[in-house]
Amino acid sequence: MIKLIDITKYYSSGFVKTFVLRDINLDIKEGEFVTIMGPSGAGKSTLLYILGMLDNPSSGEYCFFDKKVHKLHEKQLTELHKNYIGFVFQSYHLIDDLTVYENLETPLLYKKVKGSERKGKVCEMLDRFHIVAKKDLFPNQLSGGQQQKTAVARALITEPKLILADEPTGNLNTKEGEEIMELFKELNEGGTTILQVTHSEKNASYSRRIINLLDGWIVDNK
Amino acid sequence: MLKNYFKIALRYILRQKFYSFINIAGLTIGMACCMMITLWVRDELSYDRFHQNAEAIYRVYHYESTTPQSSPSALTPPPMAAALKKDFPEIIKSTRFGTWLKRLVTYQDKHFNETMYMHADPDFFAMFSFEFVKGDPATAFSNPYSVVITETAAAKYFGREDPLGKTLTVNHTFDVAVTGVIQDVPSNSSLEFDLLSPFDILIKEFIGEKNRSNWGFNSFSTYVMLPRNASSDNLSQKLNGYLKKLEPESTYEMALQPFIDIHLFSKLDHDYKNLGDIKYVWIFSALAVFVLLIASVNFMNLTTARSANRAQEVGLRKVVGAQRSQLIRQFFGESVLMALLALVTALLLVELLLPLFNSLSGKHLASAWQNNPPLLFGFFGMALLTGLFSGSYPALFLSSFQPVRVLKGSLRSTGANSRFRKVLVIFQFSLSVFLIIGTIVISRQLSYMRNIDLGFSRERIIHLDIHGELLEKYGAIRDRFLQNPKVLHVTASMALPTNIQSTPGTPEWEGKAPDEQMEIKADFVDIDYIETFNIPLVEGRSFSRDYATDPETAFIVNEEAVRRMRLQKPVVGKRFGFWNIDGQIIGVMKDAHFQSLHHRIEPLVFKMFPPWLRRMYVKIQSDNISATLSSLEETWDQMNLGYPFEFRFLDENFHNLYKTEERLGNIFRSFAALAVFIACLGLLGLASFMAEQKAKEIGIRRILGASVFGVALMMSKEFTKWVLMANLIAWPAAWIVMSRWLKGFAYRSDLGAWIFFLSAGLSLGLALLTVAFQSYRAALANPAKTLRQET
Repeated sequence: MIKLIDITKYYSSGFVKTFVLRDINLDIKEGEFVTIMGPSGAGKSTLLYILGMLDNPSSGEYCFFDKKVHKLHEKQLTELHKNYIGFVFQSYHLIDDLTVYENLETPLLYKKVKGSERKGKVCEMLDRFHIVAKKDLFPNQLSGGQQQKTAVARALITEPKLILADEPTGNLNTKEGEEIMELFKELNEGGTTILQVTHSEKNASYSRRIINLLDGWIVDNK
Repeated sequence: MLKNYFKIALRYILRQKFYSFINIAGLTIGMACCMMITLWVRDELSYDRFHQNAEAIYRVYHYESTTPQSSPSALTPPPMAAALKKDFPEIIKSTRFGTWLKRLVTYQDKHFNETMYMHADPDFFAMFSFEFVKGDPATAFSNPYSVVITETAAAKYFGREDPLGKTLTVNHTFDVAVTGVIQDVPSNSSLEFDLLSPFDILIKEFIGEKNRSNWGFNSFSTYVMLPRNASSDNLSQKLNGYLKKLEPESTYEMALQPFIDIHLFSKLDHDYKNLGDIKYVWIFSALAVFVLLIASVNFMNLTTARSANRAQEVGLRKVVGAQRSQLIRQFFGESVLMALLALVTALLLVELLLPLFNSLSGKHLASAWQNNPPLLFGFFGMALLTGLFSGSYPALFLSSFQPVRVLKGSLRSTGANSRFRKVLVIFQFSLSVFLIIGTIVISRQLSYMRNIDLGFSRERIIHLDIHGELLEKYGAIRDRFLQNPKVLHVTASMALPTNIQSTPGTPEWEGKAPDEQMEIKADFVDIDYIETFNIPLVEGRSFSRDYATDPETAFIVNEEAVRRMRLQKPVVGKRFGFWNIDGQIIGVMKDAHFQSLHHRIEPLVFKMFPPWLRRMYVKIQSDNISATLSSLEETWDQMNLGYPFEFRFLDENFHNLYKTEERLGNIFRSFAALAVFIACLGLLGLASFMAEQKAKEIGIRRILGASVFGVALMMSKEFTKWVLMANLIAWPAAWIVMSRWLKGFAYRSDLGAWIFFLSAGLSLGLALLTVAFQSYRAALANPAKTLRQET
């Protein structure tokens, strides 16, 4: 499903090039559950954003479902990641001015889903994540775990094939973190491909493959 | 989708109450100013257009064709209207319009001195559209001794009685029958009158039959009407040389002036009192745009400055699938919403402030929104445009955030965007400084005109009209008044000393070349005129009872006249005269301003001529003026003159000469103040924002040992630079525009450099004041608190 060939990313200021990723070669099949690990500054988040089509590599090729992503332009990219990818962030990134219900609704609105269908999907998500009682509350009225659950629900509501998670349990306590990881495990068993970035060994153990990054290189790939 | 945007926009506005308030307040004030000026401009442009035939009516005026300095005059002689109608078939209707003196009108026990009692010919009602409430316009003037009155005049004299057929007595001399009642003349009419009678009476009862065909008696307006859609060029051509045919020696030519152009474009002498000027229409329209622009720029600035707050939301929306165009639409929605909210408050504000604006501008503007859908629609469009314009930059800027930059770390202001913000603030302040300079210059010129030494004294002098029978009794009144110990002088003249306009044509003088022309102004005065007004004489003497020939042959001229006539000293004794009067100059007076300061001092001559005295003046001592006035009134009443004791102070009249400028000065001042206020409002928002942004930096500096004052100073430095730059930009523009305006006055105040420095100081002071509070508060914040919040 995902194929990265010689992906490199650097930032240049004047004559100096700061490399964040070097010669990344990666193959990920549908249905996999992969963890990307490494110390701070190793380039994990950058890799995730490139995979999520939110950033462009400086050189190299990226094929997603056999489409050459590096050759597409912005509109096509948006279409792609709107329909196939869901994002979960460390700091949830919910829209503070919208209720839980409205936050869940937002991706559907951008996909131009009709009213009644939207309502159905949102209610389904609320139910599945057991947050029906919170549907009219604002993010700042929820606990960390509830916010992250909402964020995951939002990422899932468009039924993506791939979930990208950047330190999903970083801001949660142990119990809440476990809940989220169990959720991911369930999703993966249902066929969704999951790629997570994390520091925690515990979280990594939920996955079946670990890629280690160090200073922009892949050093391990099991 | 729209509902979603609307909800977010509203919630965001409510959450950020302080900044939303500043934004909406700025837009409200900007729009309210715009709306009021729109009403004012509409009114000015609408003058005289309510007449059905307005486009086909022209006013005839004459000008002197040889001397380049002679200004054209709107006054024409009595025989002109009928003669033109007879000689030119293109002219299908014509009328005269004018009056001669105030007169006393009585009905039973009611009497009033009417100043707006005018005269016109029967064609008048066919040419001009004045609604008849009672009576028939076609027959109203069949009988010369009739009068048509306005509804207000009708109520004044007749209360609820039917005025038709009743008789009014004029000057206790003759009667007129009421043959029609018309709706009050609207405020946007150049032609003003309360009562209107046929022109015939003016000739019979006031100026005399001998003047019926007097082509030199230029004291009235002549209007002609052409067929619809006919061009006036043909007729203008034919008018050339017309006056020469009647009088071969005449050097005067006639011309046509479209009636609807008079109010804004006419620059004739002896014109209407309520004239406007197209110049001011442009100036105020520009002002309205300026103010709105400043408010919009405010909005742009504040919104983009606070972009960091929205950055997260933007990045996230892009992640869940929003395209840039959708985000742009969302932000436009917010700005348009705010603009529409501002529109509502602006409408309320205008309702509140309209009476104040009316008193400032001397108009009677009404909002009456419900009767005027096009106007409301126009305002809605203005709000929409403002919303779109103000929101344009923020929408484009905010929607450009890349999720990567935004979601990983905090968004720093890029160099380009804070540079643009700097440009916006400088632009705003340049406009404000420009307006400050304009206000100072206009105020100075107004005060200059008010306080200038006219060259003659006008304090503690009251004047009364003496017309009709009063003129005969003038001598007796003068003697009785002089018996009062508080009265210093009594004299009389034809014109007011503040506005001497009459001209007897070119005079004759010793040494005049045969073809030479000179426009000289003249006034007819009583003995003691020079003494009453303290006019200094540089040569010779004033009129005196010791010389029996004075009333017949004595002339006093001013220095300018002497210069134009190129008379050598001694001037006294030289021959001088006009209208076949052969006399000599007995004195030369120092040049003084007997006209408004728009005009240069022109040649002037005084002569005694009792039949033409129209006003008397009484100069009284300064102590206990009200007591003196009461005793004068008693004396008057005792004489049973049949006219009320109505007087005015002379300096009042003088102020009225500049009423237009004063009004305009007031309006300009108010709007300039508002514009500056809005700019400061914007600065306040920005300063608060900067304080927020720099909270961390300030915390660190304080810990390292900076003083509160030092930190406040550091924050203010940035703004100081901006304001100074704004000044440098505004100065050249202001200088150019203001010096052009001042050129319109023959006598003007100077445009000194200190004005510009003062504006710089003022603008700087205002800016610093605005940011001072915010800077201080930021500097005082507890570093422990500010440094803890690490995003």
